[in-house]
Amino acid sequence: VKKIGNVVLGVITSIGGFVEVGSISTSMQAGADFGLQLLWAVALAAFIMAILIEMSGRMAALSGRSLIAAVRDRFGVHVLLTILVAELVIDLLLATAELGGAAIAWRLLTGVAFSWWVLPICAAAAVLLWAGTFGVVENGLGMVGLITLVFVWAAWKLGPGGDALRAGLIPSLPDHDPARYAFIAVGIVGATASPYLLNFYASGAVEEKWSEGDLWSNRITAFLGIGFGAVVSMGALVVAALVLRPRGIHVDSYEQAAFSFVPVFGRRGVLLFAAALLVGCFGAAVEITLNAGYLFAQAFGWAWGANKHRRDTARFTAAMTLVLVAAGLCAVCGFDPLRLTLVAVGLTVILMPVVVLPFLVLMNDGRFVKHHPSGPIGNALLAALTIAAAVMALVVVPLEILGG
Amino acid sequence: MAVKLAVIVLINAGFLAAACGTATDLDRQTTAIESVRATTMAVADAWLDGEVSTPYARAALERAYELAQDCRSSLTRSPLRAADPRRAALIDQCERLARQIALLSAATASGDRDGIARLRRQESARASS
Repeated sequence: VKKIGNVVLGVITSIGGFVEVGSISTSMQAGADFGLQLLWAVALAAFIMAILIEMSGRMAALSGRSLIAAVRDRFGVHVLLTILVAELVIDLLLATAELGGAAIAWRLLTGVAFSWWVLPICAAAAVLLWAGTFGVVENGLGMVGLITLVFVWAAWKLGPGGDALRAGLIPSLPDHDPARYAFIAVGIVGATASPYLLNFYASGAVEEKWSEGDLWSNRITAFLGIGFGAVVSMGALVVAALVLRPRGIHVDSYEQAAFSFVPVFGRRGVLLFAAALLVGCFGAAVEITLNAGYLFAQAFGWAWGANKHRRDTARFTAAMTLVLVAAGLCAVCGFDPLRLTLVAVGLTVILMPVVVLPFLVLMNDGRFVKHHPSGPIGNALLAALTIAAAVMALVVVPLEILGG
Repeated sequence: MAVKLAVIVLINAGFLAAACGTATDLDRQTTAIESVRATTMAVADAWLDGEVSTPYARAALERAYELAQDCRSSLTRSPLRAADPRRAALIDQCERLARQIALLSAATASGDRDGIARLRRQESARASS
Protein backbone atom coordinates (compact mmCIF):
# COMPACT_ATOMS: atom_id res chain seq x y z
CA VAL A 1 0.00 0.00 0.00
CA LYS A 2 2.87 2.32 0.87
CA LYS A 3 4.45 1.68 -2.52
CA ILE A 4 1.18 2.37 -4.33
CA GLY A 5 0.88 5.58 -2.32
CA ASN A 6 4.41 6.54 -3.39
CA VAL A 7 3.55 5.88 -7.04
CA VAL A 8 0.41 8.02 -6.81
CA LEU A 9 2.43 10.77 -5.11
CA GLY A 10 5.12 10.46 -7.81
CA VAL A 11 2.55 10.78 -10.60
CA ILE A 12 0.84 13.74 -8.92
CA THR A 13 4.12 15.59 -8.33
CA SER A 14 5.19 14.86 -11.93
CA ILE A 15 2.00 16.52 -13.14
CA GLY A 16 2.46 19.45 -10.75
CA GLY A 17 6.09 19.88 -11.70
CA PHE A 18 5.68 19.54 -15.47
CA VAL A 19 4.69 23.06 -16.40
CA GLU A 20 7.31 25.79 -16.21
CA VAL A 21 8.44 28.77 -18.21
CA GLY A 22 9.58 26.76 -21.25
CA SER A 23 6.46 24.66 -21.67
CA ILE A 24 4.11 27.60 -21.03
CA SER A 25 5.85 29.88 -23.54
CA THR A 26 6.37 27.36 -26.36
CA SER A 27 2.89 25.84 -26.01
CA MET A 28 1.15 29.21 -25.92
CA GLN A 29 3.19 30.50 -28.87
CA ALA A 30 2.25 27.35 -30.77
CA GLY A 31 -1.45 27.85 -30.02
CA ALA A 32 -1.47 31.58 -30.79
CA ASP A 33 0.44 31.15 -34.08
CA PHE A 34 -0.87 27.83 -35.43
CA GLY A 35 -4.03 26.96 -33.51
CA LEU A 36 -4.27 23.32 -32.46
CA GLN A 37 -1.97 22.19 -35.27
CA LEU A 38 1.05 21.60 -32.99
CA LEU A 39 -0.62 19.41 -30.36
CA TRP A 40 1.27 16.47 -31.83
CA ALA A 41 4.60 18.12 -30.97
CA VAL A 42 3.63 18.25 -27.27
CA ALA A 43 2.60 14.57 -27.36
CA LEU A 44 5.83 13.58 -29.15
CA ALA A 45 7.99 15.59 -26.75
CA ALA A 46 6.26 13.97 -23.76
CA PHE A 47 6.79 10.50 -25.22
CA ILE A 48 10.52 11.21 -25.74
CA MET A 49 10.82 12.59 -22.23
CA ALA A 50 8.98 9.63 -20.67
CA ILE A 51 11.38 7.19 -22.37
CA LEU A 52 14.45 9.08 -21.15
CA ILE A 53 13.06 9.62 -17.63
CA GLU A 54 12.23 5.91 -17.30
CA MET A 55 15.76 4.97 -18.38
CA SER A 56 17.48 7.43 -16.06
CA GLY A 57 15.29 6.23 -13.16
CA ARG A 58 16.05 2.58 -13.98
CA MET A 59 19.77 3.25 -14.10
CA ALA A 60 19.67 5.17 -10.81
CA ALA A 61 17.68 2.43 -9.08
CA LEU A 62 20.01 -0.34 -10.28
CA SER A 63 23.39 1.37 -10.04
CA GLY A 64 22.85 4.11 -7.47
CA ARG A 65 24.21 6.61 -10.00
CA SER A 66 22.62 9.57 -11.73
CA LEU A 67 23.27 10.28 -15.40
CA ILE A 68 26.26 12.57 -14.83
CA ALA A 69 27.94 10.12 -12.40
CA ALA A 70 27.38 7.25 -14.85
CA VAL A 71 28.86 9.31 -17.70
CA ARG A 72 31.93 10.07 -15.56
CA ASP A 73 32.44 6.39 -14.69
CA ARG A 74 31.76 5.03 -18.18
CA PHE A 75 33.16 7.66 -20.57
CA GLY A 76 35.82 9.50 -18.56
CA VAL A 77 36.59 13.11 -17.85
CA HIS A 78 36.47 14.61 -21.36
CA VAL A 79 32.90 13.56 -22.11
CA LEU A 80 31.94 14.40 -18.53
CA LEU A 81 33.27 17.96 -18.80
CA THR A 82 31.52 18.52 -22.14
CA ILE A 83 28.16 17.48 -20.73
CA LEU A 84 28.76 19.21 -17.39
CA VAL A 85 29.62 22.60 -18.91
CA ALA A 86 26.76 22.43 -21.42
CA GLU A 87 24.24 21.43 -18.76
CA LEU A 88 25.42 24.12 -16.37
CA VAL A 89 25.06 26.82 -19.04
CA ILE A 90 21.53 25.64 -19.83
CA ASP A 91 20.69 25.36 -16.12
CA LEU A 92 21.87 28.93 -15.53
CA LEU A 93 19.84 30.28 -18.46
CA LEU A 94 16.76 28.31 -17.44
CA ALA A 95 17.06 29.26 -13.77
CA THR A 96 17.32 32.93 -14.81
CA ALA A 97 14.26 32.57 -17.05
CA GLU A 98 12.30 30.78 -14.30
CA LEU A 99 13.14 33.46 -11.71
CA GLY A 100 12.14 36.08 -14.28
CA GLY A 101 8.88 34.22 -14.98
CA ALA A 102 8.04 34.08 -11.26
CA ALA A 103 8.86 37.78 -10.93
CA ILE A 104 6.63 38.63 -13.90
CA ALA A 105 3.80 36.75 -12.18
CA TRP A 106 4.11 39.22 -9.28
CA ARG A 107 4.26 42.10 -11.78
CA LEU A 108 0.97 40.92 -13.31
CA LEU A 109 -0.62 41.06 -9.87
CA THR A 110 0.91 44.25 -8.52
CA GLY A 111 2.14 46.27 -11.51
CA VAL A 112 5.54 46.69 -9.78
CA ALA A 113 8.56 46.20 -12.12
CA PHE A 114 9.64 42.55 -12.21
CA SER A 115 13.27 43.20 -11.25
CA TRP A 116 12.07 44.27 -7.77
CA TRP A 117 10.62 40.81 -7.19
CA VAL A 118 13.70 38.79 -8.14
CA LEU A 119 15.50 39.26 -4.80
CA PRO A 120 12.60 38.14 -2.56
CA ILE A 121 11.99 35.15 -4.85
CA CYS A 122 15.69 34.20 -4.67
CA ALA A 123 15.56 34.51 -0.88
CA ALA A 124 12.52 32.21 -0.71
CA ALA A 125 14.27 29.71 -3.00
CA ALA A 126 17.42 29.85 -0.84
CA VAL A 127 15.41 29.16 2.33
CA LEU A 128 13.77 26.16 0.68
CA LEU A 129 17.08 24.85 -0.66
CA TRP A 130 18.89 25.26 2.66
CA ALA A 131 16.15 24.10 5.01
CA GLY A 132 14.08 21.69 2.91
CA THR A 133 14.58 17.98 2.40
CA PHE A 134 14.29 16.37 -1.04
CA GLY A 135 10.72 15.33 -0.18
CA VAL A 136 9.77 18.90 0.65
CA VAL A 137 11.26 20.22 -2.59
CA GLU A 138 9.91 17.48 -4.85
CA ASN A 139 6.58 16.61 -3.26
CA GLY A 140 5.78 19.97 -1.69
CA LEU A 141 6.40 21.96 -4.85
CA GLY A 142 4.76 19.26 -6.98
CA MET A 143 1.56 19.36 -4.90
CA VAL A 144 1.38 23.15 -4.97
CA GLY A 145 2.15 22.91 -8.68
CA LEU A 146 -1.18 21.20 -9.25
CA ILE A 147 -2.54 24.73 -9.59
CA THR A 148 -1.20 24.54 -13.16
CA LEU A 149 -4.15 22.23 -13.86
CA VAL A 150 -5.99 25.52 -14.29
CA PHE A 151 -4.77 25.37 -17.92
CA VAL A 152 -6.71 22.13 -18.39
CA TRP A 153 -9.74 23.63 -16.65
CA ALA A 154 -9.62 26.67 -18.94
CA ALA A 155 -9.30 24.45 -22.03
CA TRP A 156 -12.22 22.33 -20.77
CA LYS A 157 -14.39 25.43 -20.32
CA LEU A 158 -13.55 26.60 -23.84
CA GLY A 159 -14.50 23.20 -25.27
CA PRO A 160 -12.29 22.79 -28.32
CA GLY A 161 -14.16 19.69 -29.53
CA GLY A 162 -12.86 16.15 -29.87
CA ASP A 163 -12.44 16.25 -33.66
CA ALA A 164 -10.27 19.36 -33.55
CA LEU A 165 -8.12 17.86 -30.79
CA ARG A 166 -7.70 14.58 -32.67
CA ALA A 167 -6.75 16.47 -35.85
CA GLY A 168 -4.12 18.42 -33.90
CA LEU A 169 -2.54 15.21 -32.64
CA ILE A 170 -1.77 14.16 -36.22
CA PRO A 171 1.25 15.97 -37.72
CA SER A 172 0.26 18.20 -40.63
CA LEU A 173 1.83 20.95 -42.73
CA PRO A 174 1.12 24.57 -41.77
CA ASP A 175 -0.74 26.92 -44.11
CA HIS A 176 1.77 29.72 -43.42
CA ASP A 177 5.36 30.29 -42.23
CA PRO A 178 6.70 26.69 -42.21
CA ALA A 179 10.04 27.76 -40.73
CA ARG A 180 8.35 29.21 -37.65
CA TYR A 181 6.11 26.14 -37.42
CA ALA A 182 9.17 23.86 -37.48
CA PHE A 183 11.04 26.02 -34.97
CA ILE A 184 8.16 26.00 -32.49
CA ALA A 185 7.79 22.21 -32.93
CA VAL A 186 11.51 21.69 -32.21
CA GLY A 187 11.27 24.25 -29.39
CA ILE A 188 8.46 22.28 -27.72
CA VAL A 189 10.69 19.19 -27.74
CA GLY A 190 13.59 21.24 -26.31
CA ALA A 191 11.41 22.79 -23.61
CA THR A 192 9.99 19.42 -22.55
CA ALA A 193 13.10 17.25 -22.75
CA SER A 194 15.26 19.42 -20.50
CA PRO A 195 18.45 17.63 -19.43
CA TYR A 196 18.06 18.99 -15.89
CA LEU A 197 14.91 16.89 -15.46
CA LEU A 198 16.80 13.67 -16.27
CA ASN A 199 19.57 14.28 -13.76
CA PHE A 200 17.15 15.67 -11.15
CA TYR A 201 14.86 12.64 -11.45
CA ALA A 202 17.77 10.17 -11.21
CA SER A 203 19.31 12.06 -8.28
CA GLY A 204 15.93 11.90 -6.55
CA ALA A 205 15.86 8.15 -7.09
CA VAL A 206 19.28 7.90 -5.42
CA GLU A 207 18.17 10.22 -2.58
CA GLU A 208 15.11 8.03 -1.96
CA LYS A 209 17.23 4.87 -2.19
CA TRP A 210 15.33 3.19 -5.01
CA SER A 211 16.23 -0.43 -5.73
CA GLU A 212 15.31 -3.15 -8.21
CA GLY A 213 11.89 -3.45 -6.53
CA ASP A 214 11.06 0.12 -7.54
CA LEU A 215 11.42 -0.42 -11.29
CA TRP A 216 7.68 -0.89 -11.87
CA SER A 217 6.83 2.26 -9.94
CA ASN A 218 9.54 4.10 -11.90
CA ARG A 219 7.91 3.04 -15.15
CA ILE A 220 4.42 4.07 -14.04
CA THR A 221 5.64 7.39 -12.65
CA ALA A 222 7.59 8.17 -15.83
CA PHE A 223 4.87 7.39 -18.35
CA LEU A 224 1.75 8.42 -16.38
CA GLY A 225 3.33 11.47 -14.72
CA ILE A 226 4.82 12.85 -17.93
CA GLY A 227 1.72 11.85 -19.91
CA PHE A 228 -0.67 13.73 -17.62
CA GLY A 229 1.84 16.58 -17.35
CA ALA A 230 1.75 16.91 -21.12
CA VAL A 231 -2.03 17.32 -20.89
CA VAL A 232 -1.38 20.51 -18.88
CA SER A 233 0.91 21.81 -21.64
CA MET A 234 -1.73 20.90 -24.19
CA GLY A 235 -4.23 22.85 -22.11
CA ALA A 236 -2.03 25.96 -22.41
CA LEU A 237 -1.81 25.43 -26.17
CA VAL A 238 -5.58 25.00 -26.52
CA VAL A 239 -6.33 28.15 -24.48
CA ALA A 240 -3.96 30.23 -26.63
CA ALA A 241 -5.43 28.72 -29.80
CA LEU A 242 -9.03 29.44 -28.84
CA VAL A 243 -8.62 32.81 -27.12
CA LEU A 244 -5.55 34.60 -28.51
CA ARG A 245 -5.45 33.37 -32.11
CA PRO A 246 -8.96 34.59 -33.09
CA ARG A 247 -8.06 38.03 -31.69
CA GLY A 248 -4.78 38.17 -33.66
CA ILE A 249 -2.70 38.26 -30.46
CA HIS A 250 0.70 36.53 -30.56
CA VAL A 251 2.60 35.55 -27.44
CA ASP A 252 5.58 37.91 -27.38
CA SER A 253 5.24 38.57 -23.65
CA TYR A 254 3.71 36.97 -20.56
CA GLU A 255 1.33 39.92 -20.26
CA GLN A 256 -0.21 38.82 -23.57
CA ALA A 257 -0.26 35.19 -22.45
CA ALA A 258 -2.04 36.16 -19.22
CA PHE A 259 -4.86 37.80 -21.17
CA SER A 260 -5.83 34.35 -22.50
CA PHE A 261 -7.50 33.58 -19.13
CA VAL A 262 -9.60 36.78 -19.02
CA PRO A 263 -12.39 35.71 -21.41
CA VAL A 264 -12.51 32.31 -19.67
CA PHE A 265 -12.41 33.25 -15.97
CA GLY A 266 -13.30 36.95 -16.06
CA ARG A 267 -11.97 38.93 -13.08
CA ARG A 268 -10.14 35.92 -11.65
CA GLY A 269 -8.38 35.24 -14.97
CA VAL A 270 -5.15 37.18 -14.47
CA LEU A 271 -4.94 36.03 -10.85
CA LEU A 272 -5.21 32.36 -11.85
CA PHE A 273 -2.69 32.74 -14.67
CA ALA A 274 -0.24 34.57 -12.41
CA ALA A 275 -0.61 31.94 -9.69
CA ALA A 276 0.08 29.11 -12.16
CA LEU A 277 3.04 30.99 -13.65
CA LEU A 278 4.45 31.83 -10.22
CA VAL A 279 4.17 28.33 -8.79
CA GLY A 280 5.40 26.61 -11.98
CA CYS A 281 8.39 28.93 -12.40
CA PHE A 282 9.34 29.05 -8.73
CA GLY A 283 9.23 25.26 -8.45
CA ALA A 284 11.33 24.84 -11.57
CA ALA A 285 13.85 27.47 -10.40
CA VAL A 286 14.36 25.58 -7.12
CA GLU A 287 14.68 22.21 -8.89
CA ILE A 288 17.12 23.56 -11.50
CA THR A 289 19.29 25.15 -8.80
CA LEU A 290 19.26 21.95 -6.76
CA ASN A 291 20.17 20.03 -9.90
CA ALA A 292 23.15 22.34 -10.49
CA GLY A 293 24.39 21.35 -7.03
CA TYR A 294 23.88 17.68 -7.92
CA LEU A 295 25.81 18.15 -11.17
CA PHE A 296 28.86 19.67 -9.50
CA ALA A 297 28.88 17.21 -6.61
CA GLN A 298 28.33 14.09 -8.71
CA ALA A 299 30.87 15.15 -11.33
CA PHE A 300 33.63 15.87 -8.80
CA GLY A 301 32.75 13.16 -6.29
CA TRP A 302 31.69 15.48 -3.43
CA ALA A 303 29.25 14.49 -0.70
CA TRP A 304 25.74 15.44 -1.79
CA GLY A 305 22.10 15.05 -0.90
CA ALA A 306 19.20 17.33 -0.03
CA ASN A 307 18.30 14.92 2.78
CA LYS A 308 21.69 15.33 4.46
CA HIS A 309 22.70 18.07 6.85
CA ARG A 310 24.04 21.04 4.90
CA ARG A 311 27.19 21.07 7.09
CA ASP A 312 28.03 17.58 5.77
CA THR A 313 27.54 18.63 2.15
CA ALA A 314 29.22 22.03 2.23
CA ARG A 315 30.55 22.08 -1.36
CA PHE A 316 27.27 20.79 -2.79
CA THR A 317 25.37 23.47 -0.86
CA ALA A 318 27.84 26.18 -1.88
CA ALA A 319 27.59 25.17 -5.56
CA MET A 320 23.79 25.38 -5.69
CA THR A 321 23.81 28.64 -3.73
CA LEU A 322 26.31 30.16 -6.17
CA VAL A 323 24.19 29.11 -9.15
CA LEU A 324 21.09 30.64 -7.49
CA VAL A 325 22.95 33.90 -6.86
CA ALA A 326 24.29 33.97 -10.44
CA ALA A 327 20.81 33.32 -11.87
CA GLY A 328 19.33 35.98 -9.59
CA LEU A 329 21.92 38.55 -10.71
CA CYS A 330 21.23 37.74 -14.39
CA ALA A 331 17.47 38.06 -13.77
CA VAL A 332 17.90 41.45 -12.03
CA CYS A 333 19.82 42.68 -15.09
CA GLY A 334 16.45 42.63 -16.87
CA PHE A 335 16.89 39.97 -19.55
CA ASP A 336 13.50 39.27 -21.13
CA PRO A 337 12.54 35.87 -19.61
CA LEU A 338 10.58 34.86 -22.72
CA ARG A 339 13.50 35.47 -25.08
CA LEU A 340 15.92 33.86 -22.64
CA THR A 341 13.70 30.80 -22.53
CA LEU A 342 13.80 30.48 -26.32
CA VAL A 343 17.62 30.73 -26.26
CA ALA A 344 17.79 28.06 -23.54
CA VAL A 345 15.37 25.85 -25.48
CA GLY A 346 17.54 26.19 -28.61
CA LEU A 347 20.67 25.28 -26.64
CA THR A 348 18.87 22.29 -25.11
CA VAL A 349 18.09 21.00 -28.59
CA ILE A 350 21.72 21.47 -29.65
CA LEU A 351 22.86 19.53 -26.57
CA MET A 352 20.26 16.79 -26.95
CA PRO A 353 22.38 14.32 -28.98
CA VAL A 354 25.15 14.58 -26.38
CA VAL A 355 22.64 13.70 -23.66
CA VAL A 356 20.82 10.95 -25.55
CA LEU A 357 23.82 9.14 -27.05
CA PRO A 358 25.32 8.00 -23.70
CA PHE A 359 21.98 6.33 -22.85
CA LEU A 360 22.45 4.00 -25.81
CA VAL A 361 25.66 2.70 -24.24
CA LEU A 362 24.75 2.96 -20.55
CA MET A 363 21.40 1.19 -20.91
CA ASN A 364 23.18 -1.85 -22.38
CA ASP A 365 26.02 -1.96 -19.86
CA GLY A 366 25.52 -4.54 -17.08
CA ARG A 367 27.45 -2.38 -14.61
CA PHE A 368 24.69 0.24 -14.76
CA VAL A 369 21.49 -1.69 -15.46
CA LYS A 370 22.37 -5.21 -14.22
CA HIS A 371 19.82 -7.65 -15.66
CA HIS A 372 17.51 -4.95 -17.00
CA PRO A 373 19.13 -3.67 -20.20
CA SER A 374 17.06 -2.06 -22.93
CA GLY A 375 15.40 -4.59 -25.22
CA PRO A 376 15.30 -4.38 -29.03
CA ILE A 377 12.39 -1.91 -28.92
CA GLY A 378 14.11 0.29 -26.34
CA ASN A 379 17.34 0.29 -28.31
CA ALA A 380 15.54 1.00 -31.58
CA LEU A 381 13.70 3.92 -29.95
CA LEU A 382 16.96 5.27 -28.52
CA ALA A 383 18.75 4.95 -31.87
CA ALA A 384 15.89 6.72 -33.66
CA LEU A 385 15.87 9.38 -30.96
CA THR A 386 19.63 9.90 -31.29
CA ILE A 387 19.31 10.42 -35.05
CA ALA A 388 16.30 12.71 -34.62
CA ALA A 389 18.15 14.66 -31.90
CA ALA A 390 21.17 15.09 -34.20
CA VAL A 391 18.97 16.38 -37.04
CA MET A 392 17.13 18.76 -34.68
CA ALA A 393 20.46 20.01 -33.31
CA LEU A 394 21.61 20.76 -36.87
CA VAL A 395 18.47 22.64 -37.88
CA VAL A 396 17.48 24.49 -34.71
CA VAL A 397 19.68 27.59 -35.19
CA PRO A 398 18.81 28.13 -38.88
CA LEU A 399 15.16 27.58 -37.98
CA GLU A 400 15.39 30.09 -35.14
CA ILE A 401 16.75 32.65 -37.64
CA LEU A 402 14.33 31.76 -40.45
CA GLY A 403 11.42 31.49 -38.01
CA GLY A 404 11.96 35.00 -36.71
CA MET B 1 30.95 10.00 -48.10
CA ALA B 2 27.84 9.45 -50.22
CA VAL B 3 25.68 9.24 -47.09
CA LYS B 4 27.15 12.48 -45.71
CA LEU B 5 26.52 14.20 -49.04
CA ALA B 6 22.95 12.91 -49.13
CA VAL B 7 22.30 14.16 -45.58
CA ILE B 8 23.71 17.63 -46.40
CA VAL B 9 21.67 17.81 -49.62
CA LEU B 10 18.50 16.73 -47.79
CA ILE B 11 18.97 19.26 -44.99
CA ASN B 12 19.67 22.08 -47.45
CA ALA B 13 16.66 21.09 -49.54
CA GLY B 14 14.57 21.21 -46.38
CA PHE B 15 15.79 24.70 -45.54
CA LEU B 16 15.19 25.86 -49.10
CA ALA B 17 11.66 24.51 -48.99
CA ALA B 18 11.06 26.13 -45.60
CA ALA B 19 12.59 29.42 -46.70
CA CYS B 20 10.40 29.57 -49.83
CA GLY B 21 7.20 29.75 -47.77
CA THR B 22 8.72 31.72 -44.92
CA ALA B 23 7.35 35.12 -44.03
CA THR B 24 9.59 38.06 -44.86
CA ASP B 25 10.87 40.39 -42.17
CA LEU B 26 8.28 43.01 -43.16
CA ASP B 27 5.46 40.44 -42.98
CA ARG B 28 6.59 39.49 -39.50
CA GLN B 29 6.79 43.09 -38.33
CA THR B 30 3.32 43.75 -39.76
CA THR B 31 1.97 40.76 -37.84
CA ALA B 32 3.80 41.86 -34.69
CA ILE B 33 2.35 45.38 -34.89
CA GLU B 34 -1.15 43.99 -35.44
CA SER B 35 -0.63 41.70 -32.44
CA VAL B 36 0.42 44.64 -30.24
CA ARG B 37 -2.57 46.67 -31.45
CA ALA B 38 -4.94 43.75 -30.77
CA THR B 39 -3.46 43.28 -27.29
CA THR B 40 -3.81 46.97 -26.50
CA MET B 41 -7.44 47.06 -27.58
CA ALA B 42 -8.29 43.82 -25.77
CA VAL B 43 -6.68 45.03 -22.50
CA ALA B 44 -8.38 48.45 -22.76
CA ASP B 45 -11.78 46.80 -23.34
CA ALA B 46 -11.24 44.37 -20.45
CA TRP B 47 -10.25 47.26 -18.15
CA LEU B 48 -13.34 49.25 -19.16
CA ASP B 49 -15.50 46.15 -18.44
CA GLY B 50 -13.84 45.76 -15.04
CA GLU B 51 -12.44 42.33 -15.96
CA VAL B 52 -8.79 43.20 -15.29
CA SER B 53 -7.19 45.18 -12.51
CA THR B 54 -5.44 48.52 -13.03
CA PRO B 55 -1.99 47.07 -12.11
CA TYR B 56 -2.36 44.36 -14.77
CA ALA B 57 -3.67 46.81 -17.38
CA ARG B 58 -0.73 49.14 -16.74
CA ALA B 59 1.79 46.27 -16.87
CA ALA B 60 0.28 44.94 -20.11
CA LEU B 61 0.19 48.39 -21.73
CA GLU B 62 3.78 49.16 -20.68
CA ARG B 63 4.92 45.88 -22.22
CA ALA B 64 2.87 46.60 -25.36
CA TYR B 65 4.61 50.00 -25.58
CA GLU B 66 8.02 48.26 -25.35
CA LEU B 67 7.02 45.78 -28.06
CA ALA B 68 5.89 48.62 -30.34
CA GLN B 69 9.23 50.35 -29.77
CA ASP B 70 11.06 47.06 -30.48
CA CYS B 71 9.21 46.79 -33.81
CA ARG B 72 10.14 50.37 -34.65
CA SER B 73 13.81 49.76 -33.76
CA SER B 74 14.08 46.67 -35.94
CA LEU B 75 12.45 48.49 -38.86
CA THR B 76 14.64 51.58 -38.59
CA ARG B 77 17.79 49.47 -38.31
CA SER B 78 17.57 48.63 -42.02
CA PRO B 79 19.51 50.87 -44.45
CA LEU B 80 16.67 50.37 -46.97
CA ARG B 81 14.33 52.41 -44.80
CA ALA B 82 14.07 55.48 -47.07
CA ALA B 83 13.78 53.48 -50.27
CA ASP B 84 10.97 51.22 -49.09
CA PRO B 85 7.56 52.92 -48.74
CA ARG B 86 6.00 49.89 -47.00
CA ARG B 87 8.73 49.93 -44.38
CA ALA B 88 8.30 53.68 -43.88
CA ALA B 89 4.55 53.22 -43.47
CA LEU B 90 5.12 50.50 -40.89
CA ILE B 91 7.50 52.74 -38.95
CA ASP B 92 4.78 55.44 -38.91
CA GLN B 93 2.28 52.88 -37.65
CA CYS B 94 4.65 51.81 -34.87
CA GLU B 95 5.22 55.39 -33.76
CA ARG B 96 1.51 56.21 -33.79
CA LEU B 97 0.65 53.03 -31.92
CA ALA B 98 3.34 53.68 -29.31
CA ARG B 99 1.95 57.20 -28.73
CA GLN B 100 -1.57 55.81 -28.44
CA ILE B 101 -0.45 53.16 -25.93
CA ALA B 102 1.34 55.81 -23.86
CA LEU B 103 -1.88 57.86 -23.72
CA LEU B 104 -3.92 54.78 -22.81
CA SER B 105 -1.42 53.88 -20.10
CA ALA B 106 -1.61 57.37 -18.59
CA ALA B 107 -5.42 57.33 -18.73
CA THR B 108 -5.51 53.92 -17.04
CA ALA B 109 -3.21 55.14 -14.26
CA SER B 110 -5.49 58.11 -13.57
CA GLY B 111 -8.67 56.02 -13.87
CA ASP B 112 -9.94 58.14 -16.78
CA ARG B 113 -12.60 55.82 -18.22
CA ASP B 114 -13.94 58.41 -20.70
CA GLY B 115 -10.44 59.09 -21.99
CA ILE B 116 -9.79 55.39 -22.55
CA ALA B 117 -13.11 54.88 -24.30
CA ARG B 118 -12.32 57.83 -26.61
CA LEU B 119 -8.79 56.61 -27.39
CA ARG B 120 -10.16 53.12 -27.93
CA ARG B 121 -12.68 54.44 -30.49
CA GLN B 122 -10.00 56.48 -32.28
CA GLU B 123 -7.66 53.49 -32.59
CA SER B 124 -10.50 51.27 -33.73
CA ALA B 125 -11.47 53.76 -36.44
CA ARG B 126 -7.84 54.07 -37.55
CA ALA B 127 -7.39 50.32 -37.73
CA SER B 128 -10.54 49.86 -39.83
CA SER B 129 -9.57 52.66 -42.22
